[in-house]
Amino acid sequence: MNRMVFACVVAMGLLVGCAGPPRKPHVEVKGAWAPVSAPSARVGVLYAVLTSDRDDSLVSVRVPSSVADHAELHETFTEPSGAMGMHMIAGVALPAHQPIAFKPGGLHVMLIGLTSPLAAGDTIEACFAFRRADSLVVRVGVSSR
Amino acid sequence: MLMLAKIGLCCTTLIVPLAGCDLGRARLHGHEPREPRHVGDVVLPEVSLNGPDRPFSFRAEPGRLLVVYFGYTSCPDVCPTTLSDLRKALGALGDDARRVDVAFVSVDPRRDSAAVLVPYLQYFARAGHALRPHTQAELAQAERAFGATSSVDTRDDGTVEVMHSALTSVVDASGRVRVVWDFGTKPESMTKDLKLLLAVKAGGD
Repeated sequence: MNRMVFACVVAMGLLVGCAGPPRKPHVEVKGAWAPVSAPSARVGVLYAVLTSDRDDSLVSVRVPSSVADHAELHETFTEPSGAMGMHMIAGVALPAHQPIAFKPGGLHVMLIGLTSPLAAGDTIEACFAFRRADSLVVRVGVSSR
Repeated sequence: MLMLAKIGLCCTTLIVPLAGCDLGRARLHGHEPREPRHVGDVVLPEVSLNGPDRPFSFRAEPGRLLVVYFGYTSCPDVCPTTLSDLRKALGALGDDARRVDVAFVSVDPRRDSAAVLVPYLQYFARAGHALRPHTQAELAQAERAFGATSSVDTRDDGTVEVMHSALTSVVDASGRVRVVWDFGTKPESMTKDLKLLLAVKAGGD
């Protein structure tokens, strides 16, 4: 039995060896947008759809300090009672070829401490960082909801 | 069975404008409270940018409707989504939108000062009523009447976690909740419900 496991491990090692180092995943970020924020709102939000060509996960999103104090990954949830809330999450799994939508009422990137209201036509350069894939700088347009 | 349902629908469509009664109820997209919900006697302080607080009662003016939402301004996702859907719904109502008032109750009055709350609501509803409870008891009383809930917890690291029922209620001139929309109700559905309720009112409620 042990010998068989050993043989498998060796075989897999050889296969990987033949194929060279595993290629990094590539993540596509589509439809990224941020809704216009109300004049006195201190928070904003980014939405987008992320699709990775290999299993990966989104680790963080950063925005320039000229836009907001910081950004956090959040998820809105509904309790059985119907009450809604949101919590911060450490990362978001991106299974291969499965579009993961950040959208109202679900996953979202929360911008905390807006330096000024997000106005229609503005562009935010957001940096999406992943566990395996290279980071991506995405230009996120601000538009009305 | 399908045929019967279709006939039933046709009759309802015909009767509503003529009789001006509640027969159109079945066609509301939102849901009606299981028990009648009377909120007309509940009063909360309405804040303004320059001036003292004024008592606000949850009762629409005669011939009008009042849309009430409980939320908070540091909410990035659920509250602005609902308020902008409501804004779209009112926009699609055309002239009838003048017969609909909007009230926003802050469930986080400690952070939502008048200076924050008023411009926030004005962005979504220009003539909206910004309501800021003075005490937790005042908020809890209003929430009980509407079947709403909320909690605000400040954690050790200073972050504030807010839970709230993201319901929107439509109140008539008698102070009764006529329909409740869950989060995610489409603007078109809101518009249809408001149209229907305004038509019923116009028929002589």
